Amino acid sequence: MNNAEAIELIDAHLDRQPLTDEQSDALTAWITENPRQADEAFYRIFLHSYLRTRLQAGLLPATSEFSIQDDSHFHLPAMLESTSSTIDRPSLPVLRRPSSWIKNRIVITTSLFFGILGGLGWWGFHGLLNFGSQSDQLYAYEGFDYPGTVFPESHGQSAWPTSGGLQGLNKGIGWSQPWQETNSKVAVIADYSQPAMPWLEKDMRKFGPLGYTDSLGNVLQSSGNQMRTATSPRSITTRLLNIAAFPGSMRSEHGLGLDGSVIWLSFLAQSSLSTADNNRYSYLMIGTKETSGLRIGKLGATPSGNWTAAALQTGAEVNLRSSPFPSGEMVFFVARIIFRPGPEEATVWINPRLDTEPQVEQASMRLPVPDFRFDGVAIHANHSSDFDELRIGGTFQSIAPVTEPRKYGR
Amino acid sequence: MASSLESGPDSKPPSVRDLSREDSRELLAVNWVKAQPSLTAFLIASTPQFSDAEDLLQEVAVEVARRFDDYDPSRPFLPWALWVAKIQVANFYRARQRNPVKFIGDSIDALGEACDRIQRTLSEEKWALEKCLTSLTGRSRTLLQLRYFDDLTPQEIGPRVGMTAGAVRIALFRTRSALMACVRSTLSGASGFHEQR
Repeated sequence: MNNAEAIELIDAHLDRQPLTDEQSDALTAWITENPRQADEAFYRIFLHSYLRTRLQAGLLPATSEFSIQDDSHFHLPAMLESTSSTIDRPSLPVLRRPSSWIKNRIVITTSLFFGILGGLGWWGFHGLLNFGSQSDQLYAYEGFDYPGTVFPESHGQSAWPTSGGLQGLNKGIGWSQPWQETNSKVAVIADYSQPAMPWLEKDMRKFGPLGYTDSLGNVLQSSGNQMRTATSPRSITTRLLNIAAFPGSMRSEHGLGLDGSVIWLSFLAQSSLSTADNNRYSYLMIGTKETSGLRIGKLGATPSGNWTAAALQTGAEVNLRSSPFPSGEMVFFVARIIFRPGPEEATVWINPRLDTEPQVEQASMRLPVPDFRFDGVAIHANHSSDFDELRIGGTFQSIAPVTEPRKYGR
Repeated sequence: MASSLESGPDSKPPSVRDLSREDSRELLAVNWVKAQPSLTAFLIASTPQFSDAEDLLQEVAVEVARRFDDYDPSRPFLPWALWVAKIQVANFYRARQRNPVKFIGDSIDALGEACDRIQRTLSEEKWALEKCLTSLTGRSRTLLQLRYFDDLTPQEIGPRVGMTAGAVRIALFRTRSALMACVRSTLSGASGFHEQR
């Protein structure tokens, strides 16, 4: 059996075509013949696995100016040249979408919609029907509009505080308690009108406070100062929500997230560095690490350091999805969680347009989250990152409010 | 098969039990996420029905968490997790009274070793693959959507795109091979860049 035949059989196997005993034996012999062939086999299996994970998570990334199609001429690697063919690479940008492609996208979108409805069952459908009547209310908001933190002096130099910070700060709406600091250092309020600590060379936060303008020029409502997490070793900053302020259709005795409800969450974030070397993390969490929940932000488990989302299950991060956005860049996160019997469905958009509710196909990350409820938010970090404009609501519009257009000119 | 696996791959005096609860959980979380792509691929190879593999992954996650106190943190995590995964695969087929897929059953160890070797380069592979996926257009893109998002077989995809099942298989094969070629080409270019730094 040559390499190409072996790879074809692996494809057939992973496309759910049963192999004959003879084919299985030949393939096994090829895989076990030497480590290089075993590696080739596993790379191919990994490709299937990655495509499945990637397409289930957020569909394919947008096309670039180059393309791979199945009627052009991209040469196969040597191991595959014996099979058949040439593959797919037109020399010109391919931006056209043939009608059959569009038709198939509609089929996919429609099946996704009905898949969601089917998965939700009656409660989910009920929740969606209630969607409009739940109003555009924002149920919780924190703009971190507090005075900037004054850094203590130590041996004539400013030192990162180990107490104070956000502890006891109590503005915003929809909260039942002030912020609590629960680790050895504390997060602080960053005030750009005050002299800053010296910036690291690559820290893009030095260019100004967090804010977001979409591709059409719509500006997210934001004001005042912002939260900045601690570094070395870490800060953990938590706050409980006033669950009674949320509609009855969203809450149960265990917290927010009654099956059938849809909860939207948004916030701005930016890290001091894009890499996640040395297990750097800074994320917002709802739910609990011990049982189940959702983390959105920068996770040590994503070595690229790109913005990421992960579900939590009994202490472990599962169903991790990474975005193409480096964490050193300011982003506007929008998350929608559909609570339903069994795992919840979380969809995360990064930097969506603000004028209309984003579509699932445009999501940066999609992931199932083990069944969970939540009653507050926690922001964990072991390196400096900024967070601002935290909103929780029942609709996209409620958590992505746009400012009135500014009048420029004289 | 399972009984020999149950005894564990090695004896290991130092264990996660020596760590604090918080450190233990953090170690598990970090290790798990790094190993998850490889484990997923391994499970998809073991049971090519994606939904089965995803169920199995959850079972492996639970089992890894349950047994984590026995893990020796001085050793690589992936081989240990693969050992747990193999037990779960065996249990999966036993519970369903089905025979393991023949070729995987006979080559599971070779694939496990490959999985361990390859894991070190997977982050670069994923980076390159992500770049190459942006190059997909037209029919290739549609076929991948139908195969991996809608979870349809080539036989089911054929009527939807006006192709025979055989033509779908060939087109998918070529698209995947083109992606692999693109990944290699991208990585060889990238390694040149990194070597200059």
